[in-house]
Amino acid sequence: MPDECRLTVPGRLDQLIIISEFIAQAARQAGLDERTVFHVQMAVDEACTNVIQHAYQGIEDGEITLACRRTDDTFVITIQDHGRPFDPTTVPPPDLGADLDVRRLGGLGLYFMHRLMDEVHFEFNAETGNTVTMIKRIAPQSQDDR
Amino acid sequence: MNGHASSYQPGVWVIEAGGRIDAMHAPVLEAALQRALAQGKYRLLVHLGQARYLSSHSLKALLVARQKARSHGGDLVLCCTPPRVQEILEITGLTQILSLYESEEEAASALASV
Repeated sequence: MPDECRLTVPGRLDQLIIISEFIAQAARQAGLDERTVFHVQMAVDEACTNVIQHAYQGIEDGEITLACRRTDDTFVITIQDHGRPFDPTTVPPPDLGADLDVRRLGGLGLYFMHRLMDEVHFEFNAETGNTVTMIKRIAPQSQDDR
Repeated sequence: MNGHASSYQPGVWVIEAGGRIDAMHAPVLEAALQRALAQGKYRLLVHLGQARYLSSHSLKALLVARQKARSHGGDLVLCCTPPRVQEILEITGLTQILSLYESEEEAASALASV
């Protein structure tokens, strides 16, 4: 894959399919196997949905910029927006215990991101906005596919 | 999103959830589930045979509907889950909560005995 693939789209739900196709293509070019491509697609979909529904809630003209790059043993995705600051520590983990309480399922998307990726980091900067960095470690068989 | 009475068991309502059900499309699934519940259909079978992707929003809609169905003495179960979708349910621990069946007939039988 090129050193870095980038995509900027309007922060709207109808763009999720475009984001998903972009990520799938970049992940395949980076040599990830189809199972891992699906995991990455899902984590990115959840991250971008959070941006659209929370950071850009009520904001019509926000943009989301995605960048992907491959290192020797990782696939790194950054997602940037200029919406409201997002502090993941304010989102309680979903309650998925035996006594499931659907009132406590708010953080399901965030939970999925952490389960599907090896690392997830959130950062807010007044100039650059919110940046989510997600890292997937690449298994040896995926590297052979390059 | 289509809903219809099960051809296998009376009293079981089948909703076919296909394609890519992300946050854009989850409200359609949610509406189909809530419509069925509002009509007193508490034995819900969600057929995922044609589903390519389920986001956390669609899974939340399933969990909310399941809780409501169970509170009325019914249940919500899934059938024909594609391998990729099933794997996501396993990774996220949702197979501990949602009941999955390989075929529509099996799922309908399980619901009929609720």
